[in-house]
Amino acid sequence: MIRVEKLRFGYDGGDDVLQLEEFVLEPQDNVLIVGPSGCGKTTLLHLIAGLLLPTHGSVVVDGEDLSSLSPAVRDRFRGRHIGIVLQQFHLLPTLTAMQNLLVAQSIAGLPVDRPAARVMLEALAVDDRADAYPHQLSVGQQQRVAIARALVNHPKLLLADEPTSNLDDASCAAVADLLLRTTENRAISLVIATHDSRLKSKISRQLELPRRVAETAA
Amino acid sequence: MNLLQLAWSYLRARPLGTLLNVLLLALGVGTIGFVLIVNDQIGESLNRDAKGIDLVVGAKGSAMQLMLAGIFHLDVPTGNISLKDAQELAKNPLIRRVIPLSIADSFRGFWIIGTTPDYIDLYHGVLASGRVWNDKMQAVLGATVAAHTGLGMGAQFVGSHGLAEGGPVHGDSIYTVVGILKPTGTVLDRLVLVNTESVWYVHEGKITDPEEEKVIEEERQVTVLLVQYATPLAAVSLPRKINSETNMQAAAPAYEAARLFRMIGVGADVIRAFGGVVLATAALSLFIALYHALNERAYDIAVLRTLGARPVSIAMMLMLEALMLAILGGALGLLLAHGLAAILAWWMVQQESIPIDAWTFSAKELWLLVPSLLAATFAALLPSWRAAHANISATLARRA
Repeated sequence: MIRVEKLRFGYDGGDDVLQLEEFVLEPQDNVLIVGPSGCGKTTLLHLIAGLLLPTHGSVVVDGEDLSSLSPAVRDRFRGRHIGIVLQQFHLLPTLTAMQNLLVAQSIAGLPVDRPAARVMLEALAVDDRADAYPHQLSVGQQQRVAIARALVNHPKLLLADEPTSNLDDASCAAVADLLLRTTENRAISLVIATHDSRLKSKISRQLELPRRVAETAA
Repeated sequence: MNLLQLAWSYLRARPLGTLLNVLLLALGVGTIGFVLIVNDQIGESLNRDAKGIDLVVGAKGSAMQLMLAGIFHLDVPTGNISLKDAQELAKNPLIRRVIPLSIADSFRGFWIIGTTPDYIDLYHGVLASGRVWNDKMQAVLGATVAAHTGLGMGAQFVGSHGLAEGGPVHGDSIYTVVGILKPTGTVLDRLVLVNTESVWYVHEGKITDPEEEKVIEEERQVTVLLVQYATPLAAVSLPRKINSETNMQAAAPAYEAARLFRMIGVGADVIRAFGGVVLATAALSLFIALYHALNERAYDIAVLRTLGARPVSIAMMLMLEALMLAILGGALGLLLAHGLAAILAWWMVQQESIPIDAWTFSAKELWLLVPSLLAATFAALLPSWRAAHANISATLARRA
């Protein structure tokens, strides 16, 4: 599903932010990207999502070398094949829960499929809040809608950036279980970038990033 | 849930800001549109009134006054000319037709015009009821006069000297209404028409002595002659000939009307410029709103990008927001322009001045959406460009 080789990344063409010789994730496998703060976890996640491009080396997702795609194709590829859950589970505030899912379909260039979106909301048990705006939803409901939005286009890969960092133990476990259960059911690979040690008991495979190169040198 | 709906959702989310920008755009478009409508309507109205009249001939004085009094009946005449001179002029082979107008009295603010049935034909006047006069002291009312005064067929009235109401009344000379015209949309609607002899009769009184009658007939006058040329060539020589060789003055309506419009045009330009300033203000306000939205929505924009939105789609979203405001503001502005024109029209009717049809929509008004759309496009250019080129990864990481 993911193949990373001789990866170097730094801003302005450098390689000081992230170096990763090799990393492979098989389909349906899950992995936790861990490491100290500032080691480049989020950067790696953005590289896998194609939001950033490596300075050297390659990131191949589902057989596509992201660097070789044109920007427009890369954006579309991300919209259709990669689901992303952000730290704050950020929903678009001017749209209802349902519309947040529909906009994900539309932006990925897929037909707007209201029944499919409803099925996804049902799967995450928030279909009764479909017409509520984000500010009318509890934090837990917002998380569920955000996950539903990430999954609505049936991606093969779900990326989550610090999904549990601000949550208490019970919520943390709930969100982790939710992510694992929904991806497992759909045969989706799950990649979580986190410094939250509570997740280590949930996902056995871990990719430990070293302390940032530049900082080590300093 | 396409880009249009997404952009609309952001407009709905901040109703006050949206309203402010729509109103500013509407005010700019409305002001410019108002000038356009009024200019057009007045121009059309004056053109209808002056149509078919090649030359106005009257007493010496201001050519502009002669035209305003002789054609549009918006001013007092420059004086009178002798009937003999007028008859002499009518014999000129360059002239096809002469319509004499005798202007002296009014009835409730409407001019009483002594003339011939040719004057009604000139404006294609059609009788709604009754007939044209066949003797003196018989009057045909224009449609507006009939409506305003409430006079019907067979009603009797007296004229007063000059235009002001309450002027000296010709109490012993009573007119009888014998005909009422259908509306023509021309100055004819606002006139009381009688034959030329009636005007003479009112001012001369009854003459019994044949000697006296002869003297008076020698001195008879008319006020204005409306002249139609027999050939376009007449325009070259006739006005100059009249102005230099007779006691009369000739004014070409085409030339005088153009001069009049140039004078009104300065005022119109000032109002139009004001509209332009308001529109520029609207563009600035829109720019600030969109620029502000960039910071407010940086994370939203980043999320859209993670969902697969291309930079051009993000730019399009902001542009669509601006364009929707432009269309709303433009449409409201057009309505405002017609509303203002309606107020002016109402006022002008009170003044018994030129009628304006405020609610006629013409296709060329759609051009008024162009400045609105341009202002919006201009305001959205930089914000759109910045939104498209925002560093998504950095925005997402900042929040983390």
